Amino acid sequence: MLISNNMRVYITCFFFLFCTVFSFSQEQTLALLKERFKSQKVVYLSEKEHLNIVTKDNTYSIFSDVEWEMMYLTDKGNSYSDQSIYFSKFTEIKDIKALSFLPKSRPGAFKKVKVTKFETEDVFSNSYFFHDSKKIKFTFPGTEEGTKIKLSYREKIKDPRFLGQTFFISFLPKVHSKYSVSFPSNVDLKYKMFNMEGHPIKFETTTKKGKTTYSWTVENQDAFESVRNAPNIKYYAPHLALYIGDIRLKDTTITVLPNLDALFSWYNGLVENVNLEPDSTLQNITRSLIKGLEGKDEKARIIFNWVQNNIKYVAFEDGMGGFIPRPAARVCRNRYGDCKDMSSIITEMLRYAGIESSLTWIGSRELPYDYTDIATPVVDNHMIASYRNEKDEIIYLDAVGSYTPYGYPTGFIQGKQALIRKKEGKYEVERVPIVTKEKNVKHQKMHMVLDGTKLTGKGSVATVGYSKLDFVYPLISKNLKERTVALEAMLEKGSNKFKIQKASFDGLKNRDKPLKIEYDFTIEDYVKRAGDEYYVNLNLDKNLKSSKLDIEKRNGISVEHEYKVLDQDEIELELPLGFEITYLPKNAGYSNAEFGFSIDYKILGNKVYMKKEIYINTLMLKASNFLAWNSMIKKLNKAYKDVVVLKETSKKVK
Amino acid sequence: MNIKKKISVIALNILTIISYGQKEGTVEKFDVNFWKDSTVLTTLTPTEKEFKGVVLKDYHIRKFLYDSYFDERAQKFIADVLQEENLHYKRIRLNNDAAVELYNKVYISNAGGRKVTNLKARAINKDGKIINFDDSNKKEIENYENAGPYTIFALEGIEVGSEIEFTYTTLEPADNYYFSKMIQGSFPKREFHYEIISPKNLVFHTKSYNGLEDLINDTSSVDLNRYVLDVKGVDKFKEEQYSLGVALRQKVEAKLYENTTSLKRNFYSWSEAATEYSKYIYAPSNEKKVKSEKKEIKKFIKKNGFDKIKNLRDQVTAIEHFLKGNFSFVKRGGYYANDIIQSKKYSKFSALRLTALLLKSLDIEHQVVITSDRFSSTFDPYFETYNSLETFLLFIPKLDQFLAPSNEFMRLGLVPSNYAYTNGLFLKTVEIGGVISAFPEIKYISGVGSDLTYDNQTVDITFSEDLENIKAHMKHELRGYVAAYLRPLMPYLDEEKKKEVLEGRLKQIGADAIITNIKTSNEEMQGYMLNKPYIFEGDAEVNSLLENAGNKILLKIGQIIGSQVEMYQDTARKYGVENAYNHSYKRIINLTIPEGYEISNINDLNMGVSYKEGGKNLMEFTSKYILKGNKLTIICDEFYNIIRLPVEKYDAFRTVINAAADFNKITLILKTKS
Repeated sequence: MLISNNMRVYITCFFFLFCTVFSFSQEQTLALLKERFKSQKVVYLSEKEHLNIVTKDNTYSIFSDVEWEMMYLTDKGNSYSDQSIYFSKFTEIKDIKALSFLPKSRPGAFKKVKVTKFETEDVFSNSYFFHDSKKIKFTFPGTEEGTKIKLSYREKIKDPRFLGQTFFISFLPKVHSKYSVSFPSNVDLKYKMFNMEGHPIKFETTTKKGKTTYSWTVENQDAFESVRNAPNIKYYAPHLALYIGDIRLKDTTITVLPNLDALFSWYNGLVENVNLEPDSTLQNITRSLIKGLEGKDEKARIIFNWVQNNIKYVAFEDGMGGFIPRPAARVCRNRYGDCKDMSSIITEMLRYAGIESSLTWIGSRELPYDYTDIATPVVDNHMIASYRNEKDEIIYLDAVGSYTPYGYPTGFIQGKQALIRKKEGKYEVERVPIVTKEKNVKHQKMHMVLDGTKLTGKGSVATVGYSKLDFVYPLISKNLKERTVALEAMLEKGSNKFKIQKASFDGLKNRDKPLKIEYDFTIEDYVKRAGDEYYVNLNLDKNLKSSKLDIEKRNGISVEHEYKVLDQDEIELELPLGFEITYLPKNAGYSNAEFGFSIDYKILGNKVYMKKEIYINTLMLKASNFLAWNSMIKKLNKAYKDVVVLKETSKKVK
Repeated sequence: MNIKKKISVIALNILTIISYGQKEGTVEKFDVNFWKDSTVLTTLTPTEKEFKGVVLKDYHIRKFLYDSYFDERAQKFIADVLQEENLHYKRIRLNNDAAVELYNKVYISNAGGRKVTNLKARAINKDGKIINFDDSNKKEIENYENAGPYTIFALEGIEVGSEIEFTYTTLEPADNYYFSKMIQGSFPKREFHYEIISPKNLVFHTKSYNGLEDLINDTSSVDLNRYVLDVKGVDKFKEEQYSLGVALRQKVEAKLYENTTSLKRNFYSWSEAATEYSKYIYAPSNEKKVKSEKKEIKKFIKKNGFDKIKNLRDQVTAIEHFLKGNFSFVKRGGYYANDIIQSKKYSKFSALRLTALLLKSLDIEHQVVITSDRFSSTFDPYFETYNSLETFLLFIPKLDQFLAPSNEFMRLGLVPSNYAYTNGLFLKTVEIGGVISAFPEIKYISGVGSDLTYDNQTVDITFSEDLENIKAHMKHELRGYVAAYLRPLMPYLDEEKKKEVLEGRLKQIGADAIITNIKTSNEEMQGYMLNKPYIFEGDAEVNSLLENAGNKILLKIGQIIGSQVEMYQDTARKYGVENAYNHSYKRIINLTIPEGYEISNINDLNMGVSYKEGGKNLMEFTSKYILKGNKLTIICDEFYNIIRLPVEKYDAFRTVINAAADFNKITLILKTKS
């Protein structure tokens, strides 16, 4: 969040700086900026973007004028000299002007140098096989402290639906930043602000000659610093999304995105002609899959699993191709596709099986928006299939999760609104449920015996839901030997001397079964010994031990958990003959609605039992719960330190 | 041409003769019509089924030929130019999802005017059905992450259990006459076939590495030279920890050796390289530019006072610090010093060049050294190929030390460790009558010993009053490589980030530790860094070192040194040990035992293993203690002063490594005094 907690300091600081920037000599300005933005390499002196929406008779155009100026506060500032402007098929970049102002020996004097070399490069990331995104790369000359670099260009927005978002925080400090938009009265411009409370952002609106201008200004802003395990920045950063309802031209009105009906109608238009012709190959596949199956769930499950098994994720993002699924027949032949393609083939196969299903638009959890709040493409980035089963429950089918069990959404869309396409141009909006912790269980058992300072025994892991997937992804493509080695590293019980001699895996490939792992293990040197006393810490796993939160540093930013989870451990230590227990650790626990744990010990015959349970029952741990979380971690760590003491009373009798 | 050069050429020819590895013989003609209209799924052996995937066939025919070439840019045919044609063919069985995902996408570079023709691809499914690749799924990319144009496509119809087959031919004007061919990959190969075909006048030399058989120079081939490698059964490559890594993969190095028409031979030799590079570095042909460059260099030296420094080492370090502190690296930097000095940006090569010119201008004797990364392709003195000439270093004979102008972390005395402890080509440049030439010399690029690379730690620990926590003061003294990868970063980090980095280091005592009072010394990049240990220290309060056992306290003292690698070896070790650099750790732990307590298992602290060669300890881990009243001092020495060990000595190495892991498990048991 904004760093300046103290408004008064903020204002005085700002005025001081504002005056100095414009009235003092260059050297002094640099000194003042260095003082104000300590240990920063650069500062934006100004950053401006002005979005113009212009209409004339029966045409309109939308373009953004971007301009910024940056100053190097140290000689390391030139690490920002390489800059890029990104664009795709939806935008066009024009009029790039890039200038360096190199400080001369006379204070306040600069030598102006133009950037002349611009290179265009395709941009790729791991998540796409092909992407139409490109960048224009260039380098500002100049390296010294006090160098200024200045960039301006015009970005033409080709589709009025993609006006995008603007953020009012930045990883670099800014002296002055302004975002503005101007539009004539025949354009219905709307905007939605997020997380603006408590941020000193000045909003102004003016109307001149029928042209309205909105502007948002931020002055003297510190660099934003991120924290670990935070949700996407959109959850807490102040930002703005602009969109157009309609554009009323001379003879016609263009409906852009006035409401959810309009968004759906546009989306619907993109998909309605995708699967018009049935495909006999796919029909045959479907028929043979569902042969002998009766219930809707049974059929849907087998079709979903077939797509998960056979359609590999390969994403092509190319203009509107990023919005239009490929026909099911094509996906079937290719045996690859992106989320839309998978949704296309699933809905089509379900149709062949006599089940009505829907293409469904959705945003991943990275996007904090609801369709019912803002109905523009910023809400979503994903497509799935869905249908209603015999119990009239909506089943979400996201085959991008290759191993996600039928009936579970993928983890990254839990709790998100789904826009479900119904027949005859209708739609409904539903919320994907958050999977309960009882469906994401990891249950571990260990039975071990003391053998000098070594522990020997058998262990097992039984796991379902997202907890299971944490094992499936790293293990499924390995052979038994590789799996065993990987398991050893994943479990690492007690210390890195934990060795697995033998392991078996059941349910890795079957999505509907729990995963059951059984293994034989030893841990050398785990037991500590002094004379006739042996010390064994039964907390072979100490999960969450280092998860105490630095509350001050987090600055109110929530902690995101991937899923709700329940971990259960049952540890059983068998004493050899001639041993007795002289100390048993205390039981411990903590519990509230969102998280908790319990550790209980008992002795039965020649065995010590420990039962441990840890649960997290929230996806978003809010600041109001940080203190409670830390007090749980404190209790947990105290419990982790408690050790069983055994005494050898007589020599072993064999 | 001067005589000396000729002599060196001859000397090196002798070397070459004994070193390149190809034998003469006859090989059957290879059937290039391997693409059949109909095809069936291959039957795998039970062993082959165990792998993620199997490369059933991997063919590559590299052919040099004289032909007319259509120049797209000039839109005309050029007659009788040497061209390189590469025919690729692969057939791969994909046994699981991971293999499918690895092979369902294909990338072909079209850079440098390369034309891709005859692209055919198909999948043969489990049920024998063939799915042919649809050309319309191909995407042409103009500039793939600045690597030039590419053709990319995803293969259609692949399932687990499918076989994929694809072939294509590339054609381009020949301009690369030395190359390597990697044989081993992540899948085993059933049939591997590689050929180099050239016109009769172009003679190639090849060498096989890492146990791979030699290529056969087919004496039955009349019109063309033909060098053939045909292997049935190539093992998949599996990397081992502490080994030479991917440099151990089986591969072929090849180069053009002779053009019998022009009577020229030994194109790519150390001697040729020495001459070319010395010219390229010291004496480019544009005399006007050279003159103005010389002037600029003199000016630069004067401005920064490099000429006023009396001591040689001080002079070299001053230049190095100045350049690395003020200039930054870019992919393509200027060539002439004028441009570089003005922009303060240089490429890795221009950094070398500028440094060399500065040294030359100051009459500092130096040699350019060229080598390769020993962990990706170990420098082979006996096969002269420019593939081995990957990175440039400088050697200062009077100091007997190296520097790496192209690496911002290293300073005089240290070069990136993958370029040290290996051989390299040293350019002994001489200037006679204004003409620059150079003698090639192959020498070992010696690296520093464990006395110069260390992370020494002193940790003073006491108990908190309630005996619930441990309070520690930790001091690290870093030298050599361990300092070089940390200290130079510091000027680039703001205070917050710097604190975070050092806090991370100090948290080796326990992830839950609260670190305060971080202090550093010798942080500034000034002077001779190898003699200036980087010191950082801080206080910690840590809870996780203690456990309770009724009225006893368990102190996990071993954890203070941080977690240590524990090496197991389930399968037989294949390769010898290769360490990144020699290094050591000396740890001194001072513990104040709380009043009224005594340690019941103090003798656990005495341990030690070592490895000797020629009566000298080359690796060691020892720990001993001194107890005076309630003050316990533990002295723990660990060092590795040997870079490579043969595979037979692997266990000795593992024993020392694991001794540190054993120490890490030591827990002291404190009980009330009886």
